Amino acid sequence: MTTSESDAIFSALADPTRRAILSLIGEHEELPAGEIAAHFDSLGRTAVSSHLRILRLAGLVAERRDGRFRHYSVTPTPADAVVAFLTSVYQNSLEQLASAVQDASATGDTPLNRADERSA
Amino acid sequence: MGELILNNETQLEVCPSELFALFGSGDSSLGWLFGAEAPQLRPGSLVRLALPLGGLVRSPGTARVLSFQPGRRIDLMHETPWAGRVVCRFDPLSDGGTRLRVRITIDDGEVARLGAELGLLSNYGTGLREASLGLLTSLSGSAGILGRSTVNCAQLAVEEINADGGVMGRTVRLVVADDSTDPGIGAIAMRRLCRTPGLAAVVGMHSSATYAVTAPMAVAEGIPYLYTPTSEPTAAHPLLVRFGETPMDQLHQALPRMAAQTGGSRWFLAGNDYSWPRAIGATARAVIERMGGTVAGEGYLPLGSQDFEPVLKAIQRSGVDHVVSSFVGQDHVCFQRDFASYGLRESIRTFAPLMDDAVVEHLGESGTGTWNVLGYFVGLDTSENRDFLCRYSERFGSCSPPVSAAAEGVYEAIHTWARSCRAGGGADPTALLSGLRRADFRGPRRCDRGGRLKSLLLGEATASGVQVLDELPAAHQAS
Repeated sequence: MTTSESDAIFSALADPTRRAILSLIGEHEELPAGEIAAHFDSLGRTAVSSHLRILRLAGLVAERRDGRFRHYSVTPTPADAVVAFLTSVYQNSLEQLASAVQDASATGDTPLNRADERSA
Repeated sequence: MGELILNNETQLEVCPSELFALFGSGDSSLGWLFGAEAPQLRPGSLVRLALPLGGLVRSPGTARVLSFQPGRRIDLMHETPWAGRVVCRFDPLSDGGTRLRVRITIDDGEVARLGAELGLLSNYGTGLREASLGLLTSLSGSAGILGRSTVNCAQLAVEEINADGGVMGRTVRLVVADDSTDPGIGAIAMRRLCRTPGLAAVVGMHSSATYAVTAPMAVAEGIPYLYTPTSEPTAAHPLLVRFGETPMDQLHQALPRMAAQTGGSRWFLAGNDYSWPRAIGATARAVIERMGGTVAGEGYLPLGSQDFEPVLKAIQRSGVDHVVSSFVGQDHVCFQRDFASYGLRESIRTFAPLMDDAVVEHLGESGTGTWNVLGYFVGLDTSENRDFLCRYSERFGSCSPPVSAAAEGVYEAIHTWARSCRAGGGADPTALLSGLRRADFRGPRRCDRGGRLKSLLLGEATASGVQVLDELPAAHQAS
């Protein structure tokens, strides 16, 4: 799995609504877009469509068109998606740490000083 | 059982000891892992996390320090929203910097649970000789921070039942599902549980907002539902078996006693805005008015709130002597901390119907003096409880999350379920329900046969845990 694929999976899964949508689709062989939207009626159809598009682009769901209707199903090889998601959650944390440390040493205002105050 | 191992690393321009000192400051600009809140670093101490899992609000989570060597290594047990081991190693680089390696180990069962919750994997295949027992609880969202000890207690009960021959010759298999402290997600998780082959019953330890959605599903599917937390009475059905304390159990003796101690008569009712805190509010109002007191104000905020100022200011203005605070999970912790930092703790006494030993660990000193009435606190001084706590700590180690009343309630309900099945002659609903009144499990709580509470404990929060002040009869016993 490439970094950009794993980033796309992380972005897709890093949203509680999209996780709920994915979980709902996973309960069925296939679900029409209208039924998915009906489960999330507070969101509106447009928002649900846009979540479905992000899930599809991340390769987590497949779309089948049938006339005017679109049907969604969970793609069959997604064990890697869990791994990609968890890896990104931890990796993002380390990247943020690295950039905070770098910013601090560049500006002199330092989380290191704050840590000293805490332990003092 | 297999495990998933993830290795992440980065190189930083600070030396290992400086980098080590950054851990646990609560400064979120350092990333969720190093920027976690860990006021003390010692084996067994709590680490509070704020994970960027989407949405406007960071998702609360918990971990625990297993061991550490300053400047060299930190070893953590990640508890919620998922369980895993996190080992951070700090290696010095020749240029004075640090190579930070983070190794995450998550067992296959937990990966499968996460996958199932995302709709990605199905982990619910069951052998013919197994009976599945569902546990629906909160491992993420506001109530998720208290979830790991609930899963541990369920696991402990199931292992004890299996060691004792299982249920009617079948091994019991625990299937855990997370409602994310959200009724909509709870409904999806419940539907998935209902599809589990060999599902004998579901134990629910979650909000009554989720229960309102999932209980009718259990009835429609013909699955016994054992609901364990403190909760308001709702429509009865033979398949819905309730174990928890009612608002009347918790309030009818404690509030008059608190007023007698303070000499005050004015009360403020605060909590999250859904059915259970509203039921606590209604019962509290009835109890307060019956004893001649006054409800001077009320304030309810949505679950997952961050800003408690409007309610705190209203409390300050109201000039009350007492607050009944029915916030849940992370909201409860944040409200009580803000309440203390507003300086309200000195002049106002708090009764909090979800305060237990696990919540107090998150509160530290900011909860001191808060009262609650529950069927269980860790400090319950009986031989059954001492044995139970020994078995828990032998099974999960000294660096495990503290047992809470909520978690212990699940332990008792699962044992009562197994005894009921044995008494009724099967794991099917008819046998279970016919055996329920004859189930004679003797756990830490004081219960009738069938698990109905006979007596309750009045507890007061201290900085180090809940002190048991007194034992009270349950409301249905007293009336």
